[in-house]
Amino acid sequence: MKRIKEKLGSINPDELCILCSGKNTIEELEAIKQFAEGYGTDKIGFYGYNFPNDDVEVASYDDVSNAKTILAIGDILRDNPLIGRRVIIFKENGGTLISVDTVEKSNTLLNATESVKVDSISDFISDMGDIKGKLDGDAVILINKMENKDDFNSLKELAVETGAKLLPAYKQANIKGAMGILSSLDAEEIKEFLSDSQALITVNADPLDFLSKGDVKGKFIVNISNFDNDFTKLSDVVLPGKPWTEKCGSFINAEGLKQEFISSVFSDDENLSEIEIFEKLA
Amino acid sequence: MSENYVLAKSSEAAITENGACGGAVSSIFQYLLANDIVDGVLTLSKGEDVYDGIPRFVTDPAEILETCGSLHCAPTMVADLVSKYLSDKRVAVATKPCDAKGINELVKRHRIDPEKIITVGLNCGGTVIPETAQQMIEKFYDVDPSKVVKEEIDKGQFIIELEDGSEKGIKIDDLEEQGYGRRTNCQRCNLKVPRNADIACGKWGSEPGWTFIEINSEKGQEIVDGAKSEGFIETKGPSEKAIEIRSKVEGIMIKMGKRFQNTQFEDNYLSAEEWKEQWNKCIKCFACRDVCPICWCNECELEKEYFKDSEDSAPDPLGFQGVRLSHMSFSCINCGQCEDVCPMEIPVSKIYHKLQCVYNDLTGYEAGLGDEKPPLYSPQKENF
Repeated sequence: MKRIKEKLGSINPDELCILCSGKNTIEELEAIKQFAEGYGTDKIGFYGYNFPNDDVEVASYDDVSNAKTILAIGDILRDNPLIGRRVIIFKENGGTLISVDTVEKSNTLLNATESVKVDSISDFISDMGDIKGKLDGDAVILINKMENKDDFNSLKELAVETGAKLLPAYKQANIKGAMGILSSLDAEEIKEFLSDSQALITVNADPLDFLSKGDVKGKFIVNISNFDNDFTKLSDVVLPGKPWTEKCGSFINAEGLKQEFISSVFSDDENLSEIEIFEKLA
Repeated sequence: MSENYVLAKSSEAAITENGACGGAVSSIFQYLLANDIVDGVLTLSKGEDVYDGIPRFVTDPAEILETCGSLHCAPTMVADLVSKYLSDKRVAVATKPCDAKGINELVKRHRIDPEKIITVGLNCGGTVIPETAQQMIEKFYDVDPSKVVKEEIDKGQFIIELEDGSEKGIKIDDLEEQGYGRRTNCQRCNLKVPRNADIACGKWGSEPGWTFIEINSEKGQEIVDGAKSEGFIETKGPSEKAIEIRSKVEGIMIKMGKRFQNTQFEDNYLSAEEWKEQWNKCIKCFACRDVCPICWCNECELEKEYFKDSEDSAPDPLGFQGVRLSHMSFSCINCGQCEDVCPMEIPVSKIYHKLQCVYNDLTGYEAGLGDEKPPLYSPQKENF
């Protein structure tokens, strides 16, 4: 902690970039945001897998079960099993599942009524041919794979035009909650943040999922994470904070339901939670 | 009259008033704790409501009153809890027949020390998935599920009790015809009295305020005798009529189970093409493996590099479910946990249980009963 404080004291506030993730709880994100404001940097956000901040009215999980038609972009069954289960129930109810993906074979493609293999999700969204005519007020558009933020705006317009409901199926549990607090960044925006930063603090985020090693090279990296991976090796300081089983907090799921959890394991070791780490750094 | 049968009730008024069927099970647990025969009792506590059963390890005899033997709408499995977390302790545990089967299989695999465990079996007519229970209570009973304070399965009915003390019951047959009622594995089950436990307790055939106990082992006899001599329970012999009624109820339940086996394994069994469609749903989340009480290898072959699937492709069903079936189906105890946790609604337990039944027909080996080692058993595996 001393080493981190010394580094933060030696740079300008706008030379610090803080990268959170959809794995952080609402309470953690609020505490980290407060720290960033106090320190004086506005280079804070999380990688949103190309989903922009948006408060669009989304379909509920019950809407998914009860739809007549679903347009699923990406492998919803495998990547989002809770929503995927609703897709299975929808199929058992006799619904028509149209699955679109860039891969040859996925669980969702295998279970679809109509499978569409495309080279580009963006190209498909801008011209989906006769599939557009199959969308109406009884349809739900599910998406977990996007190539850029504009794709989402196009889907929103499509939903308004056809009357279909839209449900983004995020890659991480609290992306919806994070969107209400911080900026959802894409890879280019994060690279821009990093270009003139001296230090990077990541909180349960692995930048190598969307950046190259070169993008973070030369930065003073503080990595708050329980996982040992390639990014750990690049980090100057690794703080293995408390695992989620030892914490409590809340998440907001894809349909907007706030879900609270309590700690299930009690440990008397000296590990700090993310909130405690930022309190000590402030 | 068999010497193995006894009617029992608690000697303590507070327990006979609150416990089911005279509270004999609660008082036996108290006897075991008070006399330091066990370190603790593993039983169930009601959580937020009757759909929420939380396994609880009780070490204080006074806390036994806060627990309850069975919650039909909160199907749990205790066998692996004992082997994973309590293997170093002397434990008494309340078991459904499938729990007792799980413990039996883990004893055979040296995961549970038979000298350290006492099984207090509870007769079981089946359990209901919490979500299904709430749906059917709303739909058929016209009752807000959150207003239910107690439930039971008795005389072929699923009965709910409300806050004002009133009761509503509907025939399980009628509920199951509509696709509700008990879990499908429970429908197929033909072990209703857990004779694979040290004692089997229940209300079938008993008089009001008494528990009918069948003693299945020397240890079971010692427990009942000890609890009686220490003044924790009162006992008396059941009448011939009581034994006959109990036998008749059990016979009807077993017959129902066999009928459901025929329906689910023959008449309504999935075709090869339909099974292929089911396996196409498998996302290889490992939930079925993780929850299986019998599947215990410290190092699972399925996690080795050569079984890893590409993230850009659907998992190979043969490389996961095929391997699991060949490894575990002979030992399936039909607890249904795998099917409960499958996020893709694959009727997993149906195929495992069917293969175990076929194997049983061919070899006479029924998982969870007796002392015979499981098929393909290798002592070397204990080193893995």
